[in-house]
Amino acid sequence: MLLEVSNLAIAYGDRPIVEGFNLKLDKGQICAIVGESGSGKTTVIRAILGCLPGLGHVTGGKMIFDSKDLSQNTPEEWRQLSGTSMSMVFQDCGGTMDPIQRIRTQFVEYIQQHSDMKEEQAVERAVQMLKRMSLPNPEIVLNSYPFELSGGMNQRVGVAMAMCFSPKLLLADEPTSALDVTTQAQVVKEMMNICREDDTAIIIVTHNLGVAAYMADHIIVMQNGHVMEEGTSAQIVNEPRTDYTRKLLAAAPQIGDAVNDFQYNF
Amino acid sequence: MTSNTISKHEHDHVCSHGRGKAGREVVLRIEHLVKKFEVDGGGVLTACNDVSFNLYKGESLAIVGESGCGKSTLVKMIMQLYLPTSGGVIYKGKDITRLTGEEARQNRRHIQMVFQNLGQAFNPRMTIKDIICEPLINFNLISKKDCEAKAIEMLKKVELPADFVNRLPANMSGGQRQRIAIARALVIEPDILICDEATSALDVSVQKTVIDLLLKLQKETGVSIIFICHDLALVYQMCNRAIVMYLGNVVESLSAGRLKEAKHPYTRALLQSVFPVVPKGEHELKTLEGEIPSPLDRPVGCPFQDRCVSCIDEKCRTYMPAMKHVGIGDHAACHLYDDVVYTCDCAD
Repeated sequence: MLLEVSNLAIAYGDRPIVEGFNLKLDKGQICAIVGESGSGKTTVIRAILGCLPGLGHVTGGKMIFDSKDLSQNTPEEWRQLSGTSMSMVFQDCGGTMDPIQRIRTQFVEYIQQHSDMKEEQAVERAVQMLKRMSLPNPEIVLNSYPFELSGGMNQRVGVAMAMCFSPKLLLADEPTSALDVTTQAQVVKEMMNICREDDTAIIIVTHNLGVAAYMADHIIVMQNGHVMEEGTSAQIVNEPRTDYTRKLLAAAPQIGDAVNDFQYNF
Repeated sequence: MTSNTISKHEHDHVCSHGRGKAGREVVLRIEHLVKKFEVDGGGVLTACNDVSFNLYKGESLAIVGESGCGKSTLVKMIMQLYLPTSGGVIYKGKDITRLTGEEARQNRRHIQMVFQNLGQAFNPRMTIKDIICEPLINFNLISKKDCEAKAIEMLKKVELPADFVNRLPANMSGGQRQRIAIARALVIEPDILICDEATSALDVSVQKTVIDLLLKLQKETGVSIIFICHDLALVYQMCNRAIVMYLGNVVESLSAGRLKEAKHPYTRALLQSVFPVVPKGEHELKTLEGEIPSPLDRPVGCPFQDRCVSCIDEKCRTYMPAMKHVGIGDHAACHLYDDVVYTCDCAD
């Protein structure tokens, strides 16, 4: 077992946000957490990475990652862990990067923070990672500023950085929500390929049920900080047991469904 | 016929057959709109290249395409925010892009817009009452004392509680703010409502309620909606027609209900990029490789040639395909259909 979260409770200040969250993840497995905004899905993965914002703190439960209890981690241990054996891809990777530094500087800095590579070696590694994410001209990308790249390219750079040290677990927070359909499909495909090659497990947070069903072995449905339902991709899609999941599935537009009741018959 | 236009003859054909009803009223006629921007260093960026289509009364028309395809530029020209390089937008017999002064201002009543970014679309210090009634005040259509009643009426229409009138936009959720935006746009009873990615920032369940509301209000008021969107599944469900744009060109125009039978390779590629909600392993993902070319350096011939799976070398790289009739009311601009002769199957 790579990650075992049991009975996790998280609060912001005195206000409980998430309660009774359980999750088991094996090496190379993909788990999706779905639910509407405010359901606590991002809070959960931030807790796993030890980066809850503001007054957020874990109030109960256990998180065992790689046979180590995460709640006992010192800040230095968190620093060692994140970016190497556990890393994260954000919704807007371009926005998480320094706007006035070239990608090269930031990528090299990231690599050198976590290893004792020389600069040339680090650049070489960066080029190699960008190639693995199907970016055609890695050198040009490295010499660009984040704002010069398209959303899809920035997102690929984010995944390339996160996968640099072949982490055991990749946490992805709405990694494709801001992208066009075509770019979304590309990034999803490349992210899955690169993780399969490195046997990296993924926890993806998304509200796109299509993406969740396509990627995940296991889906967790959350609402108001509680797990409403969990199961395999097929169970959730074909045999939802709760009304909330059914509602969520019904709200996702699909091509081929009956058209909306309100649609005129032009 | 020049490239990428729908001729008058074809328009008439659309109107008299298929789902289109003869004599359906055209609200807005977009004619050969071109917008070019000059950029630093002397280059010319072509954002919209000869776009033509009609908007009919009471329909919802989707404009679909990847970022950078010219959707937003097109909308800004319709909204009189950009002056087109050539071509025009005909509303009630007048080219509204050339209006100036008071005439231009008065025309704004007829075309209203709902924006994507809910956080920035409102003045954070105005109450909901002031936000909803501001358009009416601007056009002297209401006296200050009637504002509250009008705001409450509009709140009811968009299914929000009446006590929201004195709230600030910051104290509302995304879905609620989008309802306010719809109320503000519809309060002066426009003929045309433009929704620019109006629901893409919302999550699925909220999105559905907002879409249902929009369609309900459309039925009540008969407003025509231009819906800018990149979610094809949503377009399929809520729109009557779809116009697909690529690199500033319209490449296909078809009935939204027939999206699955789209003819143009680009539309087909877009469709394949949509993730259906089916269990893992049951969907084979086909991705469209590469990125949209730079509008500064448009390829000669078909704009889609470099990413197209069915590119016919010489022809596609030399000649721009013209818009051609490929089905009942459906048009595509692709050399694959050069030799196909569409024969109408309905009595005329």
